[in-house]
Amino acid sequence: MSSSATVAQQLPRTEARALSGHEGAVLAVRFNRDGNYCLSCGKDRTLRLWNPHTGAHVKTYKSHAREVRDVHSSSDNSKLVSCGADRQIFYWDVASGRVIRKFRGHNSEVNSVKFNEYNAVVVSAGYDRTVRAFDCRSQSSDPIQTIDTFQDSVMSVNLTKTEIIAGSVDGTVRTFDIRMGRETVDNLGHPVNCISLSNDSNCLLANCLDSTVRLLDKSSGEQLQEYKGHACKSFKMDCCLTNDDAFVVGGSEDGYVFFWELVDAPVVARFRAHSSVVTSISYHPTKACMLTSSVDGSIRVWT
Amino acid sequence: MGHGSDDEDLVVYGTPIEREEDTSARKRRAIAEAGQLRALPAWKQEVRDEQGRRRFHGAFTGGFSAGFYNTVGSKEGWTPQTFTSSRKNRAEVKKQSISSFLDEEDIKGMGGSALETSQQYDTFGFTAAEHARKQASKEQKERPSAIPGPIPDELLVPATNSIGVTLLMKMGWRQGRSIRDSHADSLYESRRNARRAFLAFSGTRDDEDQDQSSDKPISDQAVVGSLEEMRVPGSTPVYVLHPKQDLHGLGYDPFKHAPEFRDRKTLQKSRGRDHKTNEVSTRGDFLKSNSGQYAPGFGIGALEDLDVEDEDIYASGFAYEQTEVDIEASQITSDHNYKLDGRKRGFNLSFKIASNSEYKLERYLPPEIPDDFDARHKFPTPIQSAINFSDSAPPEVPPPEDNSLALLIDGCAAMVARCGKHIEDLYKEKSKTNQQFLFLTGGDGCKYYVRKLWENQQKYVGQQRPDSAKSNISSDKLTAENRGKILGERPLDRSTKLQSPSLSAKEAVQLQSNLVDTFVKPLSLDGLQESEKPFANDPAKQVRFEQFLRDKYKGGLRAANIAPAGAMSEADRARERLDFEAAAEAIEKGKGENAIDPLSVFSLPGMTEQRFVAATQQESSVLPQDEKPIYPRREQFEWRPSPILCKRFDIIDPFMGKPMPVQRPRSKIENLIFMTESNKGSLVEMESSSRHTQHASMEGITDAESQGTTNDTVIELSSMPKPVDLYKAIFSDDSDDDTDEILNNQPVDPVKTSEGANMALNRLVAEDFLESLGKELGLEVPPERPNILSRSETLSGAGASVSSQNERIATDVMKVKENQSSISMVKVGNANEDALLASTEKLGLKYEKQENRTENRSPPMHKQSRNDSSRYDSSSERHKSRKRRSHDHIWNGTPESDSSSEHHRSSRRKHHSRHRKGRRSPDTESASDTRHERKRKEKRHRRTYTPDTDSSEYEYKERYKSSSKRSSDKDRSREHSRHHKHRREDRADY
Repeated sequence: MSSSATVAQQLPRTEARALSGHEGAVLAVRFNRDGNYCLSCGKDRTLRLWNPHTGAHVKTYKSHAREVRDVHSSSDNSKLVSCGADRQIFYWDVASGRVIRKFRGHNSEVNSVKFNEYNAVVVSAGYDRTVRAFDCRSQSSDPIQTIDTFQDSVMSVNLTKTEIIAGSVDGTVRTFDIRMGRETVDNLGHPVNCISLSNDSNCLLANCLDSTVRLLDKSSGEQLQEYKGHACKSFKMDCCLTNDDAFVVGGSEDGYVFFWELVDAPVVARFRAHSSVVTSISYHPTKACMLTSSVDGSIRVWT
Repeated sequence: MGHGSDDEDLVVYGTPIEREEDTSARKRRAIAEAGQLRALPAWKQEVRDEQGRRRFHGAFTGGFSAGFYNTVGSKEGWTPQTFTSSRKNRAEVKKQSISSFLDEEDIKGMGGSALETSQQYDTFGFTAAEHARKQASKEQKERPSAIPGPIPDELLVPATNSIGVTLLMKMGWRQGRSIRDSHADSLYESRRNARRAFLAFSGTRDDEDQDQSSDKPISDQAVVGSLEEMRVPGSTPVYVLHPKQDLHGLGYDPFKHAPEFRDRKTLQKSRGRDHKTNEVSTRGDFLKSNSGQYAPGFGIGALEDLDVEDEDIYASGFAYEQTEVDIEASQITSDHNYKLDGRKRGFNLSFKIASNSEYKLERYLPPEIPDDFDARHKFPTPIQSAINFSDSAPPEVPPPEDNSLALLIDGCAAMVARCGKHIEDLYKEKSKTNQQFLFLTGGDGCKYYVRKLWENQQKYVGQQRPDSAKSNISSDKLTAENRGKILGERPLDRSTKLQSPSLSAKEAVQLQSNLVDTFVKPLSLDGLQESEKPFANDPAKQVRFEQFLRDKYKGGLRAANIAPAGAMSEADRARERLDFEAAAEAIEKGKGENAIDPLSVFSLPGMTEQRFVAATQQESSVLPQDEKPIYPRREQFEWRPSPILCKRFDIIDPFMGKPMPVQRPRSKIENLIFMTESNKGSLVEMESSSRHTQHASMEGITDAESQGTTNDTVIELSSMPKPVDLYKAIFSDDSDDDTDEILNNQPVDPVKTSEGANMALNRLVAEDFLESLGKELGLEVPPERPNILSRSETLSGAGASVSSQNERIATDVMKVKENQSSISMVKVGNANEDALLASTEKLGLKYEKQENRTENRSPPMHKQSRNDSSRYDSSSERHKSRKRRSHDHIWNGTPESDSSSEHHRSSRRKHHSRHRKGRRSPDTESASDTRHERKRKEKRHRRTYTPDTDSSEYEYKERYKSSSKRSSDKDRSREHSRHHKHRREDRADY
C-alpha cells in the first residue's frame, strides 16, 4: 500500500500547459503511439495535431462536414483516421494533410474509430448499431466486414492483435475474436460509454452510464472491480488506465478527473481539470503524463 | 422635418482618388509627364490624348497609328457612307443628329449632357410626366419591393394635369375639394401674404412654422404649391405602403397559435426601422427563432438540415444576447403612417405628424374593491337547510278558526317547503307590515304553520328520496374508505388529507411512509425489547436498521432510498446491509422461540391481507439477489470474420474451408456463389485438415452420381471411383509434369497438333455447356489445386505442349490420386459481392491463364474422348462439376457477371496480344511472365469465374490458330525451360 501511495504521488496532477485552438467542444484527444504528439478533434470540425510537450500546434486537418468524434493515428505515424457526425471516416495523410480515402458505409454518426496493429484495417463503431471494418490497402471504400449484432449505438471500439472489442449503449461489451471466430458478449446491464484495454490486454475497462467504471477480466468475463465517485450519466467520456496499469483514470461531468487505485478501487486523487465535462482522457504510453479535453474547448496537459 | 432622412443626402467634395490599378500604364505615364511638359516651352510640348498617345503627328511621322487611333477613333478611320439605293428603301429616313458627327471626346467635352430642351419649356406637361416617372422609378429602386420592376401604379398615375386643373390649382383649388370651397376671405389672404414673406425670409421651414401652418393645412398646401414651379398632381399625402415580402398566402397569420410572439415581432420591426439596424436584427432573429441553440463554429452546409444532433448538448455555446433598446412611444406611432418625404419629390410639404395627438384612448382605473368584499355569493339561507328538516315532528295542531288564515298558512307552508327557507324570510319581512303573516313570527297559527311546513317538507322530500337514496348507496359503495374498510386497509392519516396539493419534500416522505403503512400494519418497532435493538449504541444506525426491517418485511409501496445515500459509500452500505441481515435473522430466531415468524409478527386478521403480504415478501427477498448475479453476464456466439479481415489482421481464417451459412437463394442460378479459399498463405497449413472434409464432400458427390460413372472407361483406367480426379489430372497441372515435358520435348507431327487443338476446342465448348448446366443444378464444385496456376506462363508454348502432353497422358492418369489428395477446398456460399466486383478486372487475367492451361490439357482429353466419346453425354453433370472444380473460381451469378465477362474478354485479348508479341521477342515475354506471376501471387485467392460460353469459343479458335502456326521447336523448348523455372519459384513460395 505504501508503494502505491508513493506511486500516487507521481500521478500527473499539475497542469503543464493548455493547448488552445479549438473553437468549441473538444470531443477526443489522443496520444500517438510513442506519445510524442497528440491529436484532438472536436465540434469545430477540425482535427489538430499538437506537440503536447511544447504546446506547439503542428497542423490542422479540415474536411469533416460536422463534428469530429474520434481520431486515431497509425502506429507508423504516417496516417490518421478520423470519424464524425457526418457519417464519414476519413483516412488522412499526416504530412500533406490530404484525405487519402473516405470510407463509406455507416448510416449514421460514427462514434469511434481505430487502426489495427498493422494499419491495414480501420474499424469503426457507429450510431447505426454496427461495427465496420475497412480495408486501407484496397481502393474500395466499402467495408470488408460489418458486424451488426448490437442492439443500440456502439460507442467505442478497441482492437487487439486478434480481437475487435466494442462497447455499446445496449449495455454489452462484445469481443469479436478473429482467431477463434467467436463473439463474446459481456452484458454489463448499463450503457457502455467507453472501453479501454489494460496495457497487458488482459483486462477491460468499461465506463458505464451509471457513473461506474467497471473492470472486467477479458478471458473469463467476470467483473473484477467497480470504480465509483465520479459523475457519468449522459456524456460520452473516456476512461483509461495509467501506463503502469496501477490506476484507473476517469473524467467526470463536473470537470473533475478521478484516479482510482486499480485493485481496491479507492479514489486516490481527484482534482478539477476543467470547468465542464471532461470528454476525453489520454495517458502517455510510457511517462506520467496525461491529456484531458473538455467541452469548454480546452485541452490540458498534466504532468 | 425628419432629420434622419437627411443622412442619405450626401455631399461629395473634391475628386475621388482613382485606384492605381484602374489606370492604365500609359495614362499614368501621361500624368507623370504632364508636370514636366508644362515646364517645357510651348513649341516642345506635345498634345496627348487621355490615353497618353500623341495627338498630332507630322505628315510623315504619324505612321500607322496616325489614322489608326488618333484621328477618328476607329480602326478603319473614316469610312465613307456606303451608297444605298433609295429606290429599295425609300421610306427610310436618314437620321442625323449632332452626336453622329461627334466622337466620344467631343461628347465628353460637352460635359456629358446631350442637348435637350429645358425642363421649363413644358408645353404639354410631358417633361413633368417624364420627370415624375423617373422620380418614381428611383424611389422604387430605393424601396424594397416584392414585385420586381417598376411599380405600375406610380407610373400610371398621371403626372400632369390638364391646363384647367393646373390653373385651378394655382388658384388654390385642391383635388378632392369642390370648387366653391376656395378660401377667399381677406383675413386668410393677409395671413398668406405674411407667411409668404416669412418664408422668403427664412428660406427653410422650421418646426415652428409647421406648427403654425397646421392650423389650416389645406389652404397652406395650396399656397406652397403655387410657389413651386413643378407640381405633382396628387397633393393628398401619399403613403408608402410596405410591400408584402413574406411568402405566405393572403390572410395567413403566422402568430395564430402563438399570439405572444406578435408583440415581440412588431416591437422588433419598429425598433429595427428606427435604429437602421433592421436587417441585422431580423437576421439574428431568424436564426434564433428557427434554430434554437446550436453549437458554435461554422455554418452547416446549405443542403443539410439541422437535426437534433446539431443541438449543442453541452449548452456551453455562446448564446447571443439580445440587446433591448428603449423606444420612444412617439416614434412608434409615427412609424405606422410613414409619410412620403415631400422634399424628395421636388416640392415642400409643410406637414408634420403631430407629436401629441388629440385622439387619446381613455383608460379608466379598475373600480376599487372594498376591503370587506367577499367574492362569493351568499344565500341568506341555504336551500339545504330546508331539506335538512328536523326529524322530530312538531305536534299536530288543529288549524286556526279563521278559514282564510288556515288557507294562507297552508299555501305559505307549501311554498316554503318547495322553495326554501328564504321565502319564509321574505314572508317574515312582509309580516312586519302585513298582519296576515304574523303567524310566521309566532303570532296566531304559528304552531299550525310549523306543523304544516313539516308535513309539506316530508311530502316534498318523500318525492325526492327514491332517487337520492339510490345514488347515495351507489356512491357509498365506491368510496375509497369503504373499499379500504372492506379490504382491511388502514385508513390514511387525516392530516395528509388536509394538506395542500403542494406538499413539501418532508411531507412527501411522510406521505410515502404512510402509504407504506397502508397495506400492512407496521411492525411495532417501538415494541421491540431493548435486546432486540442491536445497534442501540449507534442511534443513526439503529434508525437505519429499523428502516431496513420495515423494508424487509413490509409490502406495498416501498419508500426507495429514504435514507440519505450521500453519507455512506457503496461498500459501507453493503457491509451494513449484511450486518442488518444478520441482526434481523437473530431477532427472528429469538422470536421463533416465541413462535413468531415474520409473517405472524404482523398478526394478519384476514385472508385478504395475507395475500398482499405473501406476494411482497417474496418480492423483497428475491429481487436483490436476482439483480446481482445478472451482470456481468457472458454469452458466446459463433462469429464469422470475413476472409479479407483475417488476412488484414494476419490471422488464419478460422472458418476457412467451412461452408458459409447458405441463405435461401432467390433462384438457383442467381444466388449460387462459390467462394474461393481466401488465404493462400495459410493454405499449406490448412491443407491437411481440409483434406478430410474434401474427401467427404467428394464422396457425397460421387455417390449421387454413381449411376453415370458405371461405364466410364477413364475411371477404369485410373482404377479410381472418383472421376473428378481424373478430370483434374487431365486439365490441371501438377509439378511433376515439368520434367516430363522437358524430357518429352520432341518434334511434333503438325497434323497431330492441330487435331489435338481441335479437340481441345470441342471439349471447351462442351465443357462450357456442361458447366452452365451444372450450375443450374447447383452442384458443388471442387476447387483446383492452387499451385496449378503456375502453369499459366506456358501460354506461348501452348501449341508445343499440346504434342508433348499427348505422350504424358499415361503419367497424368497415374497421378490422379496425388491430385485428389491435394485438392483444395471450395467454399460455397455468399461471396462478398463487393470484393468480387472490385477484383473482376484482375480476375479476368486469372481466368485467361486458367483457360490457357486447359488448352494445354486438351490433347489427353482428346485421346480419352476418342476412347469413349459417349462419356460426355452420360456424365455431363459430373463433367460440369469437375470442370468447375478444376477452375476453382467464384462464380458470380449476379447481373454483374455480364460486365465481368466483358472484362474477361477484353483483358484476355490484351493478354493474348502481349503474348504474341512476346513470342516474337522472348525477352520481353519473360518479363511479362514474371509480372503476371507477381500479380497472381497477390491475387491468388480471389478468382472469379464467369461463364461465357460463346466468347470463349471464339477466343480459343483464334488463339489456337496463332499458336499452332507460330509454334516451333525452338520456341517451345525455351518456353518449357523458362516455365519450369517459374514453377520452381512458385513452389518455393508455397
